[in-house]
Amino acid sequence: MTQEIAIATKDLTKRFERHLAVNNVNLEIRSGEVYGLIGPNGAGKTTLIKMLACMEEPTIGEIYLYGDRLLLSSPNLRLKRYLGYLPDDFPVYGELKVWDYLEYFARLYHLKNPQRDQRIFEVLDMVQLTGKKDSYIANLSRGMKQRLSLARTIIHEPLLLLLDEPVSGLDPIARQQFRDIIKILASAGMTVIISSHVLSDLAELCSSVGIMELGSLVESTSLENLYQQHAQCLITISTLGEICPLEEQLRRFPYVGGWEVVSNSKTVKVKFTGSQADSAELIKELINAGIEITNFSSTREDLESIFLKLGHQQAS
Amino acid sequence: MFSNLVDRIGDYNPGLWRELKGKMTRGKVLLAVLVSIILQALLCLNFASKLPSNFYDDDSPIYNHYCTGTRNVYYTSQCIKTLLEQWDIRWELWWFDLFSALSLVAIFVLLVGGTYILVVDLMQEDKKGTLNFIRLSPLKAKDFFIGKMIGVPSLLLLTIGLTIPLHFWAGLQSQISPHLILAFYFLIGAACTFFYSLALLFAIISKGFLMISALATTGIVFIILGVTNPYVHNSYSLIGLGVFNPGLFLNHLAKATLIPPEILGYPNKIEDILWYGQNIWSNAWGMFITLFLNFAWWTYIVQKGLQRIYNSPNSTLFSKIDSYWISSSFVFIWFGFVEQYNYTEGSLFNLFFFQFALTAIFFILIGSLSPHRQTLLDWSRYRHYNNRSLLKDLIVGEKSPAVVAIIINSLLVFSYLLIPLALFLPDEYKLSVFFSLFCQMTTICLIALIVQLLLILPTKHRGTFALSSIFILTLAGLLTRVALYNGGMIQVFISPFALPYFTVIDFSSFVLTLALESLLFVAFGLTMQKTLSQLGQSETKALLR
Repeated sequence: MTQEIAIATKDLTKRFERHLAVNNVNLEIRSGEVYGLIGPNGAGKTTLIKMLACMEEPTIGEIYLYGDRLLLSSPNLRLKRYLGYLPDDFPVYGELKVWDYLEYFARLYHLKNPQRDQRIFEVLDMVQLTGKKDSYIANLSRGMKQRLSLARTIIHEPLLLLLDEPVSGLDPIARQQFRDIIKILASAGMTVIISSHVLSDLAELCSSVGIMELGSLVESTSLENLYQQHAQCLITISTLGEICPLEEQLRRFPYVGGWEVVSNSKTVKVKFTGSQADSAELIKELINAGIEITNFSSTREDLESIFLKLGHQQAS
Repeated sequence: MFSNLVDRIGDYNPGLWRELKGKMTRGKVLLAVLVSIILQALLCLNFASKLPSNFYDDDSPIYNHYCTGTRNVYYTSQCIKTLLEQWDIRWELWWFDLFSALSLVAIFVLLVGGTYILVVDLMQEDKKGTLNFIRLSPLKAKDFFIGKMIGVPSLLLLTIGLTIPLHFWAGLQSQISPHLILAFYFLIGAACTFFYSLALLFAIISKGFLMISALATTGIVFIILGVTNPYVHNSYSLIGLGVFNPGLFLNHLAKATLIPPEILGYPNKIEDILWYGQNIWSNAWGMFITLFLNFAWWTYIVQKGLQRIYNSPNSTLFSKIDSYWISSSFVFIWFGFVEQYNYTEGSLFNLFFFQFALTAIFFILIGSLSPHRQTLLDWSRYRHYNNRSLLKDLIVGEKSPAVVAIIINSLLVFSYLLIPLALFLPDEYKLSVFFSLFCQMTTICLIALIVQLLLILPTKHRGTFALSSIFILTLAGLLTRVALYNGGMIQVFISPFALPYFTVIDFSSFVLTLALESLLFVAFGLTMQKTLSQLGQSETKALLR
C-alpha cells in the first residue's frame, strides 16, 4: 500500500536580502515518518520549518500538506488543525497555571468537554507534568517548560509535528525524557519533522533524514540508505593464534577493504564493505580455515561521523 | 453560574474566555462594582448640591439653574416655593444634566480608557511572542479580535455597564423616549467597536515603542472626542470628524426632553448641519443612521486591515483595491459637510480642515500601501512567475510598489472633487482652483514616490527615514505657506496643503510648478526603476556586475 504524502514542497525558496536562506527545496515526506533535518548553523533548517509551520511566507515555491496547498495569505483553518509546531524558543504565558494554559490551547483547537479534560490529562501524563498541573508556568524549570510546550503542541493531536531544536539546552535526563515522548508520538502514527544538532538523538528517533547545506537540501533519504551509502563497517577480530594466517584469509575475502593490526595484541581492525550476510560468511570462512577466534565484533559509523565525513560547509 | 457562562463563552470564543478568566476574578469584579457605585454616588451628590438649599433664612430672591421662575442674565431662574413650602424644581432638567454627565463620562472612559488598555495588552502579547502561537491555531482572526475587544476592557465595560440603570432612569425622568436612549447605547457600542478595532490595528502594526504608541492612540481618540464635543466646539469645521463622536447624538436627546434650548444650555444647533445640502441630521433617526453607517463602514475597513495583518504579518496593511474604496468613501463622506449654506462664514475653514484631513488620509494610504525593501526585492526578482501584466500588477498587485495606486487614488479623489467645485465655484476661481488641486495631487504622488524610494534603502531605519521625510515635507509646506501666504510657485511646489480656495495660482506659476514636479517625478521614477531592476537581477548577474 502506498503511504500518503504528508508534506510536499515544490521549488521552495526563501530569500533574506540577496541571501538564499532556503534554495529550491523539493521535499517529500511520507505520512508516519520521523524525518530528521540536519545541517550546520545557518543552513536553512529553521527557515524551512517556519515556512512549513505557516510562520514565514516563502519567496517562491509551493507547500502541500496532505495534498492541500498551504498559503500564508489565507486563514488555512483546516490545515492549521493538522499542524503542531514547537520552535526553539518557546514563549509561554508565565502568569497562567499549567492546566489553564493547556485548556486555553485546547479550546483554541475547538476541543470540547469531556474530551478536552481527558486530553489535557493525557498530555500531562505523557510529558510527566501531572503533578504540576496547578503550578504557575513562571515557576517551572526550563526542561519542564519545554515539555509543557510540547504538550501544548500536541494537545490537538496534530497529524504533523514540527520540532525545531527541541532538546537544545536540556540536561541528559530531560533529553532522554523528550526522546521517549517523541517515540511514543511516532508510534501513534504522527509524522514528525525534527531538526537538531544532537545527531545521536536523530539516529535514535528518525526513519529518514535530510541534510541541508547553504539553504539547499543536498540529501534526503531513509536512514538505512544513508548508512548503506556512507557508513563504513569496522570489524574487530581477535585470535588466539598467530596474526599471519588471519591476514592471509582476510586478503582472500572480497569485501575486506583493508585492515590494521592493533599493536601488542593479536587483534586486527578490518574495514568491511559487505553486508551483514557477508560478514557472517567471513566468520564462517575464518573458522573453516581453523583460525581460533576469540572476538568478532562489527561496528558501524554513526550519523555524526557520516555527517562530518561528508564535509558540509558552514553558511558563513 | 458565572463560571458556567464563562465556560460556554470559551467554547464559542477561546480568546474571550482567556481574557475573562484572567480579568474577571472575584476581587477585580468587586472593585469594579465598588468604583461604579462610588462614581454614581459622587455624581448624584454633586448634582444634588446644585439644587437650591432649604435653609435660606433671608427674604432676598434665590436664583438657580433648576428653578422655574423668571430667568436672569446669568442663565439662572428665580426660585419659587410651592404650597408645600418646597422649591419648585425643573426636575427633568436636573435629570437631563445627570444623564448628560453620565453619558460624557461613559463615552470618554470607554473610548479613551478602552483604547489605551487594548493597545498596551496587544503590544505586550506581540512582544512576548505568544501571539504567533495563536496565529498558528485555527482561531479565526475575527474571533481573536472580538475576544480582545470585549475581554481586555471587560472590567471597564462592567464599571460603565453598572451605570446603565441610573443612566436609563435619568433619561426617562427627563422625558427622553426609551427608543432614543437605546439608540444612543447602540451608537456608543458602534463607536467602541470602531475605536477598539482602530486601537488593535495601531497596536499590531507598531513594533516596539509601547508607551508612545499607546499614548498616541489614546491621544488621537481624546482629540477626536474633545474637538467634536457638542459642549466644546461651536463651529462646524470639524464636523467631518464629528461623525466619529457618538456624543453628537446628545443634541437630539436634549431636544427630545422638550426643555427650551436656552435653558438646556446647548451651545449649537448641530441638527442644522447639511450634508450635500440635505438636512439629514434634522431628526434623531437621520443622525442615528448616519453615525451608525459611518462607524459600520470604517469598522469594516479597519477589520479588513486587522485580518490581513493577523494572517500575514509582513503584508501591507491594506490591499490596493481596498485603498481605492478608502479614499473614495472618505471624500464622499467628508466633502458632503464642507459647504454649509446656513453658515457660509465657516466654509473656508471647513475646506481647510477637509484638505488637512485629505492629506492625512493620503499619508496613511502611502504608509499602508508601500511595501518594504524585502517585498520589493522579491517582487522585482520573481515578478515573471505570475502571468499578470506589469500595469495590472501595479494597480492591484499585493507586492508591487505603491506609487501607481496612489496616483489612481489621487485621480479618483480629485476627479470627484472637480465636479462639484466646477459646478458651484464662481467663474473667476475655477481655473486657479483646478491648478491648485492638480498641484496638490502631483505633490502627493511625488511624496509617495519619495517614500517608496526611501523604503527600498538597504538600512534598518528606512521606515524612520520615510516617516521623517513625510514630516519634513509637510512642515516645510506649512511654513512656506505661512511665509508666502499670497501664493506662488514655492508654496504649491512643496506643500501638499495647497488649498484650492486659498491659493490663487496664475497660469505661469502652474506651468512652472508642474514642470518642476514633473522633472522631479521623472528623476525619482527613473532612480526607482533602476534600483528595482538592479534588485531584480539574478544572483549570477549581480556577481558579474
